[in-house]
Amino acid sequence: MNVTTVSIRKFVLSLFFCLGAITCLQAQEFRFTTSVSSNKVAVDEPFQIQFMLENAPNVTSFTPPAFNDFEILQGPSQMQGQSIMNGRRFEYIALIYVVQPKRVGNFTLPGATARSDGKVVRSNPVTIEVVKSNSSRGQAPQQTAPQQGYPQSRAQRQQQQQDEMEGVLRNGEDVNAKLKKNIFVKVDVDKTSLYEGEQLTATYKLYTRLPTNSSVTKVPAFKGFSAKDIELPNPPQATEEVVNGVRFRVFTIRKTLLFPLQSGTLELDPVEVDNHVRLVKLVKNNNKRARDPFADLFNDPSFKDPFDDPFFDDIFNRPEVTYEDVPYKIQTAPVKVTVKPLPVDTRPASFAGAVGKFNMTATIDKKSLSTDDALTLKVIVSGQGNVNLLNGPKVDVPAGFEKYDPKVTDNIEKNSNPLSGSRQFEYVLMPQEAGDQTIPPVEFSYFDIASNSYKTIRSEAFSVHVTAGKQTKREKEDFSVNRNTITSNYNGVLNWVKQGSFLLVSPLFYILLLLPLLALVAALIYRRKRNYQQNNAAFLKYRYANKVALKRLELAARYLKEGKDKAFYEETSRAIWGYLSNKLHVPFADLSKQLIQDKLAQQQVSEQYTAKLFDLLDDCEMALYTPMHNNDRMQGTYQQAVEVISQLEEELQRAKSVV
Amino acid sequence: MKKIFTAICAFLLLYHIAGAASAPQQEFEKANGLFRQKQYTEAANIYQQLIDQGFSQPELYLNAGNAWYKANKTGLAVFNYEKALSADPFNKSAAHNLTVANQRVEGYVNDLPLLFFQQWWLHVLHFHSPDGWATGAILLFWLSITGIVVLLLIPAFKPVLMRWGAGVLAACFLFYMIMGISAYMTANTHDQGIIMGTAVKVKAAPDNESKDMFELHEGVKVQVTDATQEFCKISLPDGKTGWLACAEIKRL
Repeated sequence: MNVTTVSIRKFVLSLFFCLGAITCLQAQEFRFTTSVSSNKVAVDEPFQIQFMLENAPNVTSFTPPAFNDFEILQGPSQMQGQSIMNGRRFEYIALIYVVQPKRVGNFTLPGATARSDGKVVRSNPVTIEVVKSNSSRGQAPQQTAPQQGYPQSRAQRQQQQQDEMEGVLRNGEDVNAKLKKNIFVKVDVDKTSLYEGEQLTATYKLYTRLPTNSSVTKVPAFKGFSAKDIELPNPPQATEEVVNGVRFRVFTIRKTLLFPLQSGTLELDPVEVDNHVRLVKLVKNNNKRARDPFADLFNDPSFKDPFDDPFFDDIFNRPEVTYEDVPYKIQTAPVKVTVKPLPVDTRPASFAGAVGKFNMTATIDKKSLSTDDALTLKVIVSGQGNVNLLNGPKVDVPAGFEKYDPKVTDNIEKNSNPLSGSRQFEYVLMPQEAGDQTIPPVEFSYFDIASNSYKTIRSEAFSVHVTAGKQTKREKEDFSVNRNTITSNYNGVLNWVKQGSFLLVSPLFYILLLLPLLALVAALIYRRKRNYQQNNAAFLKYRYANKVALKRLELAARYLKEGKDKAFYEETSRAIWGYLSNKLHVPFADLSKQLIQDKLAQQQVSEQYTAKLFDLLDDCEMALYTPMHNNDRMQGTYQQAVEVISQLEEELQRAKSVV
Repeated sequence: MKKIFTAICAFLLLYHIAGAASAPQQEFEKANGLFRQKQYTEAANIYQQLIDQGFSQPELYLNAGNAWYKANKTGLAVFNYEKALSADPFNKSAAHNLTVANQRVEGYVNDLPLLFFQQWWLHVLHFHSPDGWATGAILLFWLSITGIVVLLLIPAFKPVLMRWGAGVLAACFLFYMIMGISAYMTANTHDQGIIMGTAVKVKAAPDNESKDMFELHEGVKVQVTDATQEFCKISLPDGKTGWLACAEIKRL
């Protein structure tokens, strides 16, 4: 120990020379801090204590604290250096000890003292918690046994004291490391693999051992989820939780029930918390304890000042306290959740996304109503699960009803976890027509997480009796004048004739049509008969013309024998004329030579016969009017007449056949 | 004795005939009175009885339609107005009341307006009653036959006039005959009907199991194009076709 002191003295003296030249150049911020590599160490575990003098002018002495409960393994080793940052000079001297605790317990190392520029400065004290080493487990029961023996209140008080001590920033302690160790936020999820629509509870917690004023600056958006927050007590209530053997006060920042809306890997956004940590800085009050610095400096360090004991420091000699608010921003680590899609194969048609455990009731408010009234179909789905996301069951309303969108009323139990409650759908149905109608059963399906299957609930069918109401629907009413009122009734006298069978299909019609036809037929028959009679007489005359002529000629021949020549010629002439008359269908009175000639020419009788005929007729006429009679000549005329008639007969026959 | 009995019989018969002749008018007036007292259903029932007895005056149908309209039976009202119009297409009251009644018909599709020649045809067709056409045809037939007979028997009696006269009369007879047949056909085709059910499902095929295509409401006029025992195939002016139970249609 003596060797150490001497070396320090030499070192300090040499410092005077080194620093003397530059102190005048700067008036930088002076700091004297103590820092330890770890606040919590095990017995037999070496750790480092560093006393750092920053920008200290004219350091004349340095006294380390008394390491009563620690054994110095190494040191002091010193470090010094300077740097220029942003045009400002920065200088430090560090003295480093490596020490090892001797006992279990909480120890406070008071700060080291140094004399700088004629003033005594002191570094911050450091509290070190020494726990039993892991290797010596056999000591553990011995160690805990007396602890349990303490009254509870005392143990608590000790704990509180320890917690309070965390808020104290000792000299040389790294602020960031301290904050990191003592404040953090964490997100707890109750499961990381779940079905679409299944409930997931996410709890964001703030763990702290320091007095802090925290505010949440970034709230997670929960992309891909439907979130329902659980109300938290205000002001927040702290609970205690032990993490890695260290007791933390835990504040729940946010507790949210999450329902994934899509499948896949979803990430819970981090929450960001802004903390203002109030750290206590201890500064030793120098005025109260006027110490001779040189006494300290040159005293035997082994000499123990009774007031140097840290306990005395605390109780009687409380250091001056300064508070420092340190801003510290922290955020949670992102959490990934795997969301499985709901099975598709067995999905019922009425499934509309409900996951959990539900019950459904459906009721109608009346069984009988008129078309003027409205019917309310009330469907209540209650249970546990994504109640807030329930879709109304599809109601197949018969065509006789007009359906309106349901009125949805939620009755979700506040702060229930898992989310439970009921959702009520009120369908208003307007009957359009009278009659007995049946509303088919309401069907509701959900996915039961417990049994991993779809379940379907079905209500019974409702039968409704609808009576005709007073109002009727008038859709296309034309409101122009007199366009929507019917004209008045006909009130006159009607001709009350029944429309019997139609005349067109009655037998009378056909009889009446037949009668004139009969008359027509009768007329035709009569005319035909008459025509026949007329035609027949001419025909006979024609046919028997030859015979008649021959008969007359026979008579003429008798007259010839008797010598009655006048009668003979008369008869012959008559026979020829008569014959021509009959044959040519010309009345006897109308006959003339010219007409005969025309007719015969018409009948294509050759000229020579016509000439013979006229010769004969001329002879007869001559003989009638000239009385020179000759028997031979009469005989010749007779012969000629017979010849002409027979020739004409032949000729006419031929002509007829030709025609 | 026998004479007295015969006289009583004759008297009863005459009385009966006279009573029967005036009874419809009395009923008609009674119904008109009920209508004025706003007892529409009762009035409509009396009109309906008269129609069922075989009377088919357009005025009777018009009054029956009015009564059914007031009694909120739109289907029957439309049916009766249509009946009145089929008997007398130019009845302004019936046409007006039909449009008013059709305002109440849900899903009413306007009939296509008639083209000018259809109008002419309608005018010509209703120039006479079907029996009028038939009577005219008989008279013209008689006249033309008379002309022909005269022409046959007395060919010398104004043959040109007779020939032309008979020809024109025969042509007129043919025209009257054709019109008479058309009028008869028109009066006896029942291919149109009015839907009587409040909401009738029109099916894709003539059986109850087939799927519903659309719905028709009371009072819609449909064209019946085909029919089985129970189902009728209908078509609408807008081109839709389907099958529905024949019981839902009241044929015009």
